[in-house]
Amino acid sequence: MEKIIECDKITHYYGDRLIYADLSFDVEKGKVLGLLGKNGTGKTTIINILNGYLKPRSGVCRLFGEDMNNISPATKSRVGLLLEGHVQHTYFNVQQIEKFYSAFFPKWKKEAYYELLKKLQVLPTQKISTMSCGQRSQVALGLLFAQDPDLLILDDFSMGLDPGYRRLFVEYLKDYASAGNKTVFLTSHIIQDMEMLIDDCMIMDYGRLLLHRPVKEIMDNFKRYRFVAPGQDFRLSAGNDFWSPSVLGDKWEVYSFLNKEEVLSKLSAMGVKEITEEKLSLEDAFIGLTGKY
Amino acid sequence: MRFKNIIYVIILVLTTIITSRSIPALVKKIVYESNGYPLMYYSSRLKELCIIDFREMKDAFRDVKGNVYPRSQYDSLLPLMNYRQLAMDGNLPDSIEGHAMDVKVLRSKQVVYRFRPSDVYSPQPKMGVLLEAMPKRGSLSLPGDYFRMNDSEMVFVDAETNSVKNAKSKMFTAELQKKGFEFPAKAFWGNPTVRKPYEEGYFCLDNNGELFHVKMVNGRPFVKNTGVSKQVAVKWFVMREVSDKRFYGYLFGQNGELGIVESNEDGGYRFVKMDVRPVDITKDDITIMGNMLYWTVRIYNSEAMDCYGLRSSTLESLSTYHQEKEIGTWDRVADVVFPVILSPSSPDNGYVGCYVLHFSAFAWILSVILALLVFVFIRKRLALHRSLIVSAVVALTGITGVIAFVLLPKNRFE
Amino acid sequence: MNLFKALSYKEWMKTRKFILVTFVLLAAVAVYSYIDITYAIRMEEAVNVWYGFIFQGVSVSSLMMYLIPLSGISMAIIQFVPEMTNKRLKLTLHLPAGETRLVSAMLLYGYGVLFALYFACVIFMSVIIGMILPSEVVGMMVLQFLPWITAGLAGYGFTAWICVEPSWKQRIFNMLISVGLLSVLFVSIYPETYSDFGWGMLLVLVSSFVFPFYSCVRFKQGIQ
Repeated sequence: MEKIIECDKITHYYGDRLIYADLSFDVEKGKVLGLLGKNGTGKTTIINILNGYLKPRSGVCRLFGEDMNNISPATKSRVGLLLEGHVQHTYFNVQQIEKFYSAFFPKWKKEAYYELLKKLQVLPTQKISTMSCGQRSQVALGLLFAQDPDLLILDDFSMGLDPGYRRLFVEYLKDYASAGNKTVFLTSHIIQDMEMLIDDCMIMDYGRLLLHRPVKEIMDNFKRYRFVAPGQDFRLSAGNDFWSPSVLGDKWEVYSFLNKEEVLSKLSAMGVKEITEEKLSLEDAFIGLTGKY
Repeated sequence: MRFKNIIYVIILVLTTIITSRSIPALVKKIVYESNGYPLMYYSSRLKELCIIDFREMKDAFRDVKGNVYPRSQYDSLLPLMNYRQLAMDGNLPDSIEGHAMDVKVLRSKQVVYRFRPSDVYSPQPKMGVLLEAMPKRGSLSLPGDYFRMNDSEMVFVDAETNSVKNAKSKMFTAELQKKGFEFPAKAFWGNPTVRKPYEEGYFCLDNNGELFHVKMVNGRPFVKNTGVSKQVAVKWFVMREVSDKRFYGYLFGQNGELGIVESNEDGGYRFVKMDVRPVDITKDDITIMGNMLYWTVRIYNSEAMDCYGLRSSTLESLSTYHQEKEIGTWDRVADVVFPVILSPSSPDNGYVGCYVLHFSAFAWILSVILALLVFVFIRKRLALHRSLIVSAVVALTGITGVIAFVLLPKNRFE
Repeated sequence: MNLFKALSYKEWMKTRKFILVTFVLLAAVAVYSYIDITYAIRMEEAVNVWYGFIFQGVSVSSLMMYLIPLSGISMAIIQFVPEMTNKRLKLTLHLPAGETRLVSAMLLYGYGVLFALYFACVIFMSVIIGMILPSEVVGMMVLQFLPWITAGLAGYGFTAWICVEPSWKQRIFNMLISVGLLSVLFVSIYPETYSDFGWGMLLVLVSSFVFPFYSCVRFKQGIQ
């Protein structure tokens, strides 16, 4: 499978604070990859590095095989970029911004833009600066569809959007990605949205990549287990098998990729009699993997 | 980006040029003390040049032989300089060297002239104005037109209508050609003001280097070849209408001659050379203070001053004095700290350019040592080629190069 | 695709009001200078007014010394501050063309517009002033404008250099360097004193075009 994005041993610091060391990953063609992580784990940072807007301490990234610092114009036209906050040129109006971008892309699909904007109920002469966050996001998405890129990089696409717009965005994206075998690399805080959209999932923690697996694998295997502590001295700490154990009174909860039998056998060795298994949403799984604060 | 390093070097070089101008200017403002040359005057009583510097010696002055005189004798020993004060105090002598001391005559014989190289090396007026030399009403007035010297003619332009006065232009051009003036004119010099005692028009240098006198008398052209170029090759002329009508102005020759152009007995012109050292008008300042009997001429530049006491009638030298420039605090500081000082302006030149105001080999050697230190210090953080370039700049310019480097953008991870 | 044409659409949208205002101001100052001189001619007689220009270095339009450079600096602010808001320059650099070409196109737009405005102003003033003053004075006026026009164009480039620079501390240093370089153009306002300095003015102008690319490199490195 063709590798659209490759990152090789990226190491970066902000001052003395390590963001990641030797971070490596690929994204294959046709996949929708979601990058999840708490604030400050370096999600926007890796997007900046990918596009050549940040020079990492060491390591290299490649888009379509090209080094991120020297991306050719042809490749740039195949990459659609959504910056955090739906940043766009606000002095344009709806019509002008489409006219502006269309001049740069020979394969520009004007209809795709205006079709999406029909839903917005805005006049073509409305200035971008007077639009709400959600309306701006639609304009940004419309421009991306009109560009018809092979790779979409979206930084925090859900920022500032209400549930209606978020749902619209997700549906359109999913449709777009699957219809044309496009590759999507996105970050978001709102994990419920991601659940419907992404194929693969990368979870960042402070200073490292926690895991990089297909969402289905996580959803099928990662469960939460509840039990009552057998005694006052019972302690359970995080390890290879058990993630984010926590206790309230004598009620314990813990997460694991192991199946119920394996968990029960490990816990009964410590005195636990009974466990309940719970299936998780992606958001629950995320909290289970990264911990509550 | 490929040109990144080249652009960095360009920024560094230009910033260094700027700091090589502004940092020395700032330091000079802080340390400079005035160290000009003293006032000089030839005393008709002592028959010797006197040095008058009351900042140095408050109550006395001296002559160039070293004799010291009290300040109380300042007026009496320099009567031709201070005749007004003496007249006010009632101490004016009746005569000096057989010449009567008449205040009116004395005043008409006073000559004061100051020359700077920037008088020559600065934008010169492209047009001239010929006043009526024999005005009916007695005082001088602007005629209403201005003239230009074209490649082949003298053209008068009327100011009110901004159009050419054909008749007047033809008349003057014809007269010039008749008297042998060869166009195009190389230069024309006059004194375009109405605040002077009388009008002598312009002295024009033709294409052959001949100096012609041109003026307007009763509306008609007066043109005469002065013939002065047989005595001296003319480089520059300054028109000065003096009260006693003795001469027309000051002439500078191509070989450093300095003198005046007088009218001689036959109505002709004569160049009288001053008995002084050759003048370099690109560097030398000149002050002339003349009276009825003697002229005191100072020729000075940034290195030394030469002063002459000349007999007024013949301009021959009676006494000379040479003084080297004192080294002041600023000169000492500049010699150590600044290998080179640049400036867009120069005291000797009215044009904007890139002037090297100062160069010090000693400071340059110190800069090379500084550059080595800088190289060792920055090599830890910068790539080799960049360290070498910065050190080279510091070697040439010293501390101003270091300051320029500090102002420049630094790479990440430095 | 004509990159310059495509990008100029955006630059035009940002700057069109400003260009109109500058055009009007330049025309107004030019016409005012004409009115001022004809007024002086009526009050004091042409021969006295000419005297000041020919012999005393009186300026035909001293207001231009402020208007022209300030218009250049303002043009850069109007063009580049919006690019730096929310780091929108990233959008421009992401357009499918080489980055050097993209930045060059933006700068050449600004230089081109300013040059056209200043050139038109000089022509216009030469015509109207030439009606009332001799050609020598018109020539002095044009030579007097040259360093101010250079300051307008170079001020544009240096201001772009300052705007695109990502770090505030370095922006201050860049301002110091720019002020130093531009001040060379204001050493003397006496007409014609810059007639030997054409190469110097060209050097300042070329450097003002080149410097902004370095800020762009620093922007891409992600310097804060």
